Amino acid sequence: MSIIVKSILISILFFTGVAIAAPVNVETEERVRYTSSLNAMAMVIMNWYGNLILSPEQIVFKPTSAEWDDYRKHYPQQITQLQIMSTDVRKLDNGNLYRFVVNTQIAYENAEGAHSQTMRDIFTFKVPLLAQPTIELIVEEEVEQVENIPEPAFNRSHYKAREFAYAWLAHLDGVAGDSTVTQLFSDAHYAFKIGSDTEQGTVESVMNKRKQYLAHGGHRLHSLDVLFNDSNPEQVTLELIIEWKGVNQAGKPVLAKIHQEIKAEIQKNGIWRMDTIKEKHVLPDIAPWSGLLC
Amino acid sequence: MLKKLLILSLLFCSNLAMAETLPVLSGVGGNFSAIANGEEIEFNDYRGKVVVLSFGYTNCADICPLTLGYYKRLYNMLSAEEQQMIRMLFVTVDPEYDTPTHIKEFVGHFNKDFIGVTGTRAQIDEIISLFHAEYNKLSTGVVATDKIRRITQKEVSEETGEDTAYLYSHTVSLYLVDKEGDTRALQYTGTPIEEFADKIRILINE
Repeated sequence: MSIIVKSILISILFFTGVAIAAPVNVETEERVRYTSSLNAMAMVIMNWYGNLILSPEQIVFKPTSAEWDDYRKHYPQQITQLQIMSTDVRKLDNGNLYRFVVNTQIAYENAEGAHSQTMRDIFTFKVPLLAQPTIELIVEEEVEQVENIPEPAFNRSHYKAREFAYAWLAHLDGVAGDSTVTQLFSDAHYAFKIGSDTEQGTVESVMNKRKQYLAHGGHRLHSLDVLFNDSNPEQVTLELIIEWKGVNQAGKPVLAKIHQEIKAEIQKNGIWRMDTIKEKHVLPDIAPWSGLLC
Repeated sequence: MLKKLLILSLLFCSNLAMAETLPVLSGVGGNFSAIANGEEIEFNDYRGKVVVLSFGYTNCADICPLTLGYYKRLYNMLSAEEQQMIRMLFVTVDPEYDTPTHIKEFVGHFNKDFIGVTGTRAQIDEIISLFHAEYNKLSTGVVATDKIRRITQKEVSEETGEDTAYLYSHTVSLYLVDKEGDTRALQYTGTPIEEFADKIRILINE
């Protein structure tokens, strides 16, 4: 009798353990899907808006798909600045679809002078797991003329830097990019320092080594600083702070706050190519006393 | 018997749930060499043991005695078997003053099992860097140590004359490191002792 009771209880113990452990995996899987999709969609969004802005700068964007040419006629012609005021991303019931709402303020010029308006675009993306997203639908919801004009900083290069950063994060997440994306990073030298471990080499080799620490999870951009080199207009430096959550190769949950310094070259054809990536893992923001000295 | 198994089952479940609150903090910590209680060590020597690590110095009249007092209460809360599985490290930020003998005596005042860590300035800076900790020298000059309220007095030879030291500010966090050398939590002396002890037990039982 006691053997039967024991067996039942051990089974309960096992299955309760599985039941509690299971959400961990589900949470990690959901995070991987969400962050990789978010980074890939953000790359497309930055491309979309960067493409709208006129600028004398030689900043080149991959053209948006011709199927949206009619929709793009809704925007004013001579856009000088465009500021994304807010966004909202929601996963729709269908597993691969996301609703990406973007509220913008747009400055433009016409024969009557300078103007400004707010707009709301609602994108519906189809995002297969770890693949490039496609725009399924776009709806323009609101247009309103306003008085104030966005800061001049929200220009073409603003969106180029963000398109570049999100493309990189999607690549780190494992999103398969086409050759126009992967060639941006293919020749870069990548170095990281994680605790007392350091590694350097090609992007591919270092990403493989990095999986020991960050095996399965997602990168979320926390902040981005872009520094153009005044003395060398062909160089740009991106400082990224990224949050990463997931599991390591041993299956332990991991939390990382990653600082990356990326140096890129702006080629004569306007394409940005990555030269170097220096990565260091810093103290995650988990405790208010972590920076306290006494 | 039934009751025991049910309790075990509940403990198992709560451990799994709490393990989720103790993720590896990537890039915090790592291997280093230093002098611990007078012996040259590498941090990896503690693999297989759970480690609590903090920074301070023996002339600290503020947080350090409080930290070591907290260490003492925390350690005493653990069973003898659990104590076998844990190492309590106190790393000096003043290696010039805190000799191996002196820091050993200092931490030993609280508990003979505690480990005082010192080394060269470069070794200490490496540990500080690995744990993303900080320290700052508070004064450009030196202070006579008899003006500092201290736990243990360093032995000073007659030739040395007046004993003086620098004052420092330093990180107050307590780092909880698992048996594989991964940092899993940052606590401080305000963390309820029972809560900290529970986290240690989770790591011991992993």
